[in-house]
Amino acid sequence: MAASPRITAAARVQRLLAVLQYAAGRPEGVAIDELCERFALRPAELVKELEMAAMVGADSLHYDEMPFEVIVEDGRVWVRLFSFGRPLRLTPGEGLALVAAADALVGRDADPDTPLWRALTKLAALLGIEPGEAVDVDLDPEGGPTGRLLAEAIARGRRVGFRYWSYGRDVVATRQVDPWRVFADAGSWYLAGRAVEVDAGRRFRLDRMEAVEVLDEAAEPPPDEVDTTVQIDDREPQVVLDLPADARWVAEAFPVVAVQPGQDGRLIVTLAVAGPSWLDRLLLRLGPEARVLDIDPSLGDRQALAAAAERVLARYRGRAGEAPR
Amino acid sequence: MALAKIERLITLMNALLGALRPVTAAELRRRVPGYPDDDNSFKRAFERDKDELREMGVPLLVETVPGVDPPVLGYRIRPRDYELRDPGLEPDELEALNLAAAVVGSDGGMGQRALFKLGGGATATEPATEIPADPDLVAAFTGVAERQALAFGYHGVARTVNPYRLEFLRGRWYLNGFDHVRAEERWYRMSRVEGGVALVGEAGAFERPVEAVPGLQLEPWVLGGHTEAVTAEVWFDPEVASSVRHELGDAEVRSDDADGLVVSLVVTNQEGFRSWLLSFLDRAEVRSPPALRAHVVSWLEEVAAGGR
Repeated sequence: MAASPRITAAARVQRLLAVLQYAAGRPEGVAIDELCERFALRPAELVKELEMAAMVGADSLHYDEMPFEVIVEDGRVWVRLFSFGRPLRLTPGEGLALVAAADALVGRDADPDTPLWRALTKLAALLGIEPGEAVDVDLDPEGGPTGRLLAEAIARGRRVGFRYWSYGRDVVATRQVDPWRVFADAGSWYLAGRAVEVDAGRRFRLDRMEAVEVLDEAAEPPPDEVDTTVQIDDREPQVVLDLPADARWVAEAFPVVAVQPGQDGRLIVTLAVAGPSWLDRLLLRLGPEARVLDIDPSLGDRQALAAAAERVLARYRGRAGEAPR
Repeated sequence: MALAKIERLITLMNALLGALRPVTAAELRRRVPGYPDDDNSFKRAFERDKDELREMGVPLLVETVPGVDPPVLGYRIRPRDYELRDPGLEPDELEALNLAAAVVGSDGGMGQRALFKLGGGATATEPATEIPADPDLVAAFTGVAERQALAFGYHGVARTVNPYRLEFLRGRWYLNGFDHVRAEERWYRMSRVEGGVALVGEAGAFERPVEAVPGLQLEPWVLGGHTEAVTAEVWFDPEVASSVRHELGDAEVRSDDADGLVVSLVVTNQEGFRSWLLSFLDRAEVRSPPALRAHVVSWLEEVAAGGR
């Protein structure tokens, strides 16, 4: 068994009490191996903790200061509890963690007679909440129907085709991809795969795919390691923006190359730009309070903001008769 | 060394659990082996131990010891505060919870700690997914479970909120509750909460609505809305029509043909609507009402002029 991960003293106290309570429920004794298996402990580690437990209160003159009697012999453990007979109540954080995990898996139209639903109901009653009401977790663990279809294609080693709106370049086109892996990052689902037309690895967002089909062609096998991080490519062109304080979210929402304080609480942010249209969208959202300080020539010039606004305005001006004012 | 600390914490809990009268720090120092001899070192170690106990969820009572003058503080743990009420989980239910916690992990191994308390075993060490949970979220959950009001900042306004419900959607936590400042029910994105979440007032201060609260609407033109509701008619380029229908569903569609897609939306957050609309660049256009259209046009004109 692998070494146990590092845990806090508080968590180790809880684990040891859980071990003792479990063993105390077995008057005939319980095998060390069984305890190790159940609590993911190495035998040497467990025995050390049990020997320590046997010594708690042993120095005291008062017998009532011994909370437990622990005997370890021939690979078996016998425990009697004089105190700590009941586990400690759950903290709110612990309750939330379990309710959230259970709620994520029961689904929205849960069958009320599964063990998990019954467990969630009892747990909720303990915490004083209504199951499925007070905490509702929608993980959509597989990326929805599109994710499941892609997973099936990966399992069968087949190529897929779909219509894709390439956001950075603002182009809608039909793509063919040898799918490698479906993964989630920061709340969005992605497909990593080999884009057939360019013969290179690409990532595609599931919510920008349309008309996904599993094709008859066999997919080329995936590489040994599939990189599933969505990260900044430092070869991408960069832009430096001077933002008002209330546009601080930009620094949180996008992977930024650098952030520096500006004047009067303003923020100087350097961003890697995925494509000119991506930058246009961001600039239009930010509005007149944002300023372009520096921009990679491949993305345009410092008038990029004005130019992006003009392009959209052209759409509005094209509709004479419905013009505002 | 670490083992000695565990022994000390258990001995300390044992000395306090069920004590008939509060136990002073001086007495604990005598009865609990392993504390340093130096007075200041003892104080620091004792403070740390109390923090550890509280972090574990141990309800430590601090009281004045009766019949002592000058007054001195003592500590004890009442069994009825300490003990977990037995939820009566059957073996298959506990197993199901074990599996759920193995698949969906939580920050700091909280789910694992809960399972140990409930009599479960260890879960797989690497869960497939993690749900984030920070102290603000735990405070919000406490408010929901204990029916206790919360105080936090949101959009620059100090709020007092009766929390009803938490929802995790598309990778984020949202809180629903009754906002005393706005005098209505609201949704808040937890990551946008400013300056921490504090529990205020008594537990059991309000009743959660018996009727299920309306579900969270993530649509940017609705979420956190505070402008007067208007129905907007929006046109989209046929090239992006399927993506838009994917996002909106079919309910709002007015027409969908070679000329494009036309939808109508009830907008209660004008800024949110503008941001979302502009993310389509010139592939979308708001056609009515005139005031909303004028708002978008004047925003664009200001941007166009400001860049010069």
